[in-house]
Amino acid sequence: MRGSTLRLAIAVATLALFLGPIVLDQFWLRVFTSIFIFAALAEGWNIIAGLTGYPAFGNVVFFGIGAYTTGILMIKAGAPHAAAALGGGVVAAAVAVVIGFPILRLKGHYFAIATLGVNELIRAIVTNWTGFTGGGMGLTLPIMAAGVRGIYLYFYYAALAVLMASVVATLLIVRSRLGFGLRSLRDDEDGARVIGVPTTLLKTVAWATSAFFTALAGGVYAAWMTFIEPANVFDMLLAVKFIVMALLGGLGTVFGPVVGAFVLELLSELVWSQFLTIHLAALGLIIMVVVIFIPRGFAEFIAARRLSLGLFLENVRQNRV
Amino acid sequence: MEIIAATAINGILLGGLYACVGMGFALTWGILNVVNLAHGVMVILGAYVTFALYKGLGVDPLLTIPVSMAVLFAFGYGLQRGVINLIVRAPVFMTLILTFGLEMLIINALLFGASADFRAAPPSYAAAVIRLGPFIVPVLRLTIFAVALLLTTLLFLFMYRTRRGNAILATGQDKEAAELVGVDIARTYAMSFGIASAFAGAAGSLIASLYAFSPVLGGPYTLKAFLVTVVGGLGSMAGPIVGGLVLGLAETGGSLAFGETWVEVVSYGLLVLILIVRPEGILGKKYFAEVRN
Amino acid sequence: MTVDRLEVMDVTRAFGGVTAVNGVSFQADPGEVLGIIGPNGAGKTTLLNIISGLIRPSRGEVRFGGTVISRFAPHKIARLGIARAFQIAKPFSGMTVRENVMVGALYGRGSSEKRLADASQRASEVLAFVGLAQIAERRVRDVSIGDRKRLEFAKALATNPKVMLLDEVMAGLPPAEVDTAVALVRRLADRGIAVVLIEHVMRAVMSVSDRILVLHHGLAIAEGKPADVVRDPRVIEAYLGQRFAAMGVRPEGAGGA
Repeated sequence: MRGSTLRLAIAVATLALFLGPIVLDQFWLRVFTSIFIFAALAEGWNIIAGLTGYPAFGNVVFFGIGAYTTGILMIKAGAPHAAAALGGGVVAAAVAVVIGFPILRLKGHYFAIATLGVNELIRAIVTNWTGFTGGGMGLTLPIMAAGVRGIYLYFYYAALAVLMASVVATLLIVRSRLGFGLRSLRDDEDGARVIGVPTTLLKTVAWATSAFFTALAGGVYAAWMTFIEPANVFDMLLAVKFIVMALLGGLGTVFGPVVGAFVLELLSELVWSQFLTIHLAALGLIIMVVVIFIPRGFAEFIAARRLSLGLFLENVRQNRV
Repeated sequence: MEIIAATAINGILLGGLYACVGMGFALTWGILNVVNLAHGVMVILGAYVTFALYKGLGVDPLLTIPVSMAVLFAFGYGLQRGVINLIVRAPVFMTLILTFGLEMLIINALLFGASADFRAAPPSYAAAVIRLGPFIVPVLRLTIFAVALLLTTLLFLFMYRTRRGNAILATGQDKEAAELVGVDIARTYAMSFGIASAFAGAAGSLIASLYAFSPVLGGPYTLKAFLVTVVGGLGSMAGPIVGGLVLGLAETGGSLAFGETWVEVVSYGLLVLILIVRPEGILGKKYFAEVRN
Repeated sequence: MTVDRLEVMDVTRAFGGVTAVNGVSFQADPGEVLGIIGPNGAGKTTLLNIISGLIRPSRGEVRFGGTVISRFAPHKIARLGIARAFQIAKPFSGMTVRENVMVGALYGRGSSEKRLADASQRASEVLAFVGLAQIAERRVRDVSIGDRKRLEFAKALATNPKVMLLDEVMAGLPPAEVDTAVALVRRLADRGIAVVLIEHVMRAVMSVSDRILVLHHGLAIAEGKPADVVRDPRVIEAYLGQRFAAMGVRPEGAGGA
């Protein structure tokens, strides 16, 4: 796609999303809100995994931290939703900085697994800290004081706002000195260090940014659902879903993860509605197919300007024994 | 004092079981460099095989081990050749996601076919105890520990004393070099994965005899396998044994010290701590887990 | 003038039982070209790794402009003005040639190149200097090995260094390109940069170096003007063995990669 065509497409799409509620019914408002949240999660993951090259498998921990911080701030401090969600973002970013210190030193599988371990650890702590977090029984958030349609619209736009913020942040990073530094350390960390890139600092900034947006999405989710429990906000299934979305769209690109989120979530909705009993299996199958045949996502097809069986097979050939 | 000793003994016995759970996982990671998130469900599959024989033919669960191992071996071999093979050289998180998708598939298939009901296959002597000095030890746990030890010894002998085993070890250390001396890599990978799956199957049989199980326990068992492997370390066959013992002791000790519900926190805290302080694990070789400073 | 002098003082580095670098000392001043030669495994690359901060010395220290830099992080050393070109060129594979060089311009010495536009401008200058201007927009995977070596060089140069550590940048180049490389090194020195050059291509390192340091099994066995070093019996022995040393043979063009 040529640059100007792409820009036009994005502008049109954004406008359509803004004006969407005029024509969308509640079912579709819900679906799109869900898509926006997933897309923000995918974009957030893209910042640490795609731009920086550190695949934080357990990044969903920040979703949970955002959700719980938002809930706790709203309940215990009576904070308004937006402030509480931002608070969640800040807390998550702080956590990323603290754990980033020891964990960003790890490579490959070990880094991915450490993040998984952190997610499980925090989930276990939240589950047990019943006094503060409601423990395994979950946390109930206050319902918005607005009519039904009003609530749907609020969360639609809140989620859309978080998504747009994450996309804008990614755009700014990619075109900045920080972006150059991140891409260089992704490709060759030692090579980057010897030409002056402060890799530890940049990695940490990237992770904190990723955590911030992931947590914001969690903050919107929590108030939307009005009920959260450890099992569903520190959920690895969620983690894998948004990772696959980022992959599907194109890891490392700016808009890829958003596209991937749209496609996979719409597909998910379809599968859920048609194949309820085996929807887990169907999703699992989709995930496997994506990883095997389209590891570089749609962005690859767009760049290659063609869609052929050969591309799929080539991907397999590159990764097999 | 007696409580502590009893806790320690229980921890050690449990450790044997956990070593069995983790052995296959460590094998897959060490040789194929694949972290198999579906390992836990394969353990559960083994448990179901045992349950089927137990329920259907009244066979003692521990005697079904050869069968569950054979079934899982075939399953694993085929799985590796057909699916895992395709992403062996892909970036790290790809294999994690693929095996996660696989786990979802298998869990759903099990839920569909066998329902989410908890099953168990306790042998006739499940409640029997034996006196060892001042301690009372359940016979079943002791037997399980012995079986786990036996299997591990057999694996050790296979790996170090047979040609096939040596080929597997060589492939794990240097794939290209192994290929140059004539090792069939594809076959070796399939064999390794088959063996790893067989161990998962055996672990499943042991678990079926001791606990209740259901498809949803796949995830937690995978995490246990993680812990065992990471704590024990890659690159040494004794790694999972040490890891298993540590986990067993941590769980029983943690339960005693902080209560049942905090055991999870202790376990995952241990995982994160080890990765921060000594990622290569207790017995692991450093080159598996280099750290940037 | 110690302001921009690089001093390596009695640096030793052991890896387990192997002592890769053993009590090596030397200094390099602005405008000087110091060639480091020695048989393979002599510890030359390890020495450069220590200077760039990727490894710590077991003993001894490295100073630049009087400041001890042995324990500094690699990126800090780069920002002070010590640049490094690796033996095996590993450019940033996801970027174009220009972008690779821009990283050096953005993060190197001096904060003046923080804006992308300025960095791009500097990248153009550097690419022109090394002769890669015509492939500036090409993706790195489409670049030949020879050009990748020049790119490695360009990345280091873009950091606006005072010292350049070059690790076998001429290996595998055809003679004409070796001459170009030699001229390039000379121009760097003329600009006041101290160049520390590890090379196996003898005629190149002999012709361009002001001084030569010879390493063997981690030890510095000779140092001095090229003509003198070449006649030093210990050097001959290191390269060709005792029999040739006894015969008085000079290692001209010997030890080529």
